[in-house]
Amino acid sequence: MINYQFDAEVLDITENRDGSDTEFNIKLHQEQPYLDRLRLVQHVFDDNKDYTDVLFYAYAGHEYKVIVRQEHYVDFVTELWKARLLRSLEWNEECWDPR
Amino acid sequence: MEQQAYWAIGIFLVIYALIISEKVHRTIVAMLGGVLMVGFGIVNQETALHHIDFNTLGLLVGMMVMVSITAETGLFRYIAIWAAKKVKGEPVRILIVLGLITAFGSAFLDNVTTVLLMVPVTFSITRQLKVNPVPFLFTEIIASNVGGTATLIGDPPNIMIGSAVKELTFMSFISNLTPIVVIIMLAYIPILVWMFRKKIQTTPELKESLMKLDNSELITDHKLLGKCLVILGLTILGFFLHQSLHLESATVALAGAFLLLLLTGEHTMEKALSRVEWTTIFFFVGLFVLVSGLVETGVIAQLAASAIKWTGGDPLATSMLILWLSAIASAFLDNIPFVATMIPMIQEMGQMGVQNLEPLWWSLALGACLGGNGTLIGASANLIVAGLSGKEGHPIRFIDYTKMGLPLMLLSIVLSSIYIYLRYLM
Repeated sequence: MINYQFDAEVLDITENRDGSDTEFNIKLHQEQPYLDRLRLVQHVFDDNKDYTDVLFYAYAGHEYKVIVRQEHYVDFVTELWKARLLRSLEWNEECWDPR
Repeated sequence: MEQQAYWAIGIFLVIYALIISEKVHRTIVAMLGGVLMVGFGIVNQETALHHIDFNTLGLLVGMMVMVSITAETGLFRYIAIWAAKKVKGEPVRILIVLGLITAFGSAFLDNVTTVLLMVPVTFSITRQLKVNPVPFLFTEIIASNVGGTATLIGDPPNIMIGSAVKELTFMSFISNLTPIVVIIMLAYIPILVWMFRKKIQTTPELKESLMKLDNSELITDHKLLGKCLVILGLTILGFFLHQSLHLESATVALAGAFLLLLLTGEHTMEKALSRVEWTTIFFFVGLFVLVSGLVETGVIAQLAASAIKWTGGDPLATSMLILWLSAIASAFLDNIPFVATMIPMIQEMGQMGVQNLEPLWWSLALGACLGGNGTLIGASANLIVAGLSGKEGHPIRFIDYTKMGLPLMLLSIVLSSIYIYLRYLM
């Protein structure tokens, strides 16, 4: 749906589609300021009134699993980009419709 | 009865019907009912204000402020995940521990607040384990109503009873209600496990994934947490000692809330005060004035006299009448207006010569609090959890809930009847 780029020296992001969810695995290679930025993204989704839109699970070594409901996929990657955890975002070919 | 008594009954019944119909928000209806009682001259403004129980309101506001600040620290989420890991990520055991945490939390916090703290973490755990959240949410509803029965501050009916009857202290609620609450929870746990064990199966891999979660990440502000724990601890100690200190429970709760605000600073105050459920507070204000109309015109005294005549003033018959009537009424109606009406009625029974009112107060508390489990509309916590569950794609239907909740409620009232009889009336 969306192509994104990140700095592989700072973090790794992988994603798997699981039914109506997408599971992101995020591993931070550098703690600061990226950990605070990721917490800021978590805060955005924890603070709203939708309890299952985006769920964060923290593991040792700054590894995170994030379960994202399909309809919130774009919101989530956009928040990552706004927190400058992604370098760029673009619609992929099948979603791009300039009209 | 005088003409004004008929006006008071008319206003009360219309307002009560409007509250039940849920066509207009209950707070607006109750406040308008209170205004009508004053507007029609059934009570004057000074008498109406005299009937508003500021101890109930202060206790609720104080606890809501403290909980809203503490929730910011991630403490409640930490406790739930810690407990889930302690039971090795096993869904059936998680169902039990989340139920027990909810029951314990509800004993010291408002039920609605407790379930609002538990629901997000329940969704988080069940999503991780890929199991249906409904059995867990149902268990939390039941546990919140049972746990809330255990203490003076656990459920609005108890707050109202404790506030109206000065002899019933924080400690007397614990010593009289906590034993039966523990018995009911012990009876419920195997039933809930039996009902849901097949619906909440997961895989070893998902359990393993839950076990690897890093709890330390869940506490977001250690400094704030320290302050909250100290103040919450002192407040609970204050509740235990409030009678010896000659302080009302509201004074203790408000002292805790504003001490915590003093420690956390002005920036916390705006947010904490905005999270107080002012709609609930004004609902209480409206109800107190509404019921004052019935009290001042002698309607409540007449009802009490009829009840005594019907039961012959026999303590066992009167206790059972109050217990079962409160439970059945609370399963279908809001228990707050019901208790607001019953309190002056029981007080009136005392003035009419019923010697031992204690079993009547405990019958009212048990019936009104536990009755809420009977149907989905029996308590605010039930509706809130069902609403959140539906919003997240897991609707809890009225009839499905009633099929499970009503038998459990009836069981708790049978156990309470035996308890009341053995402890106070044998």
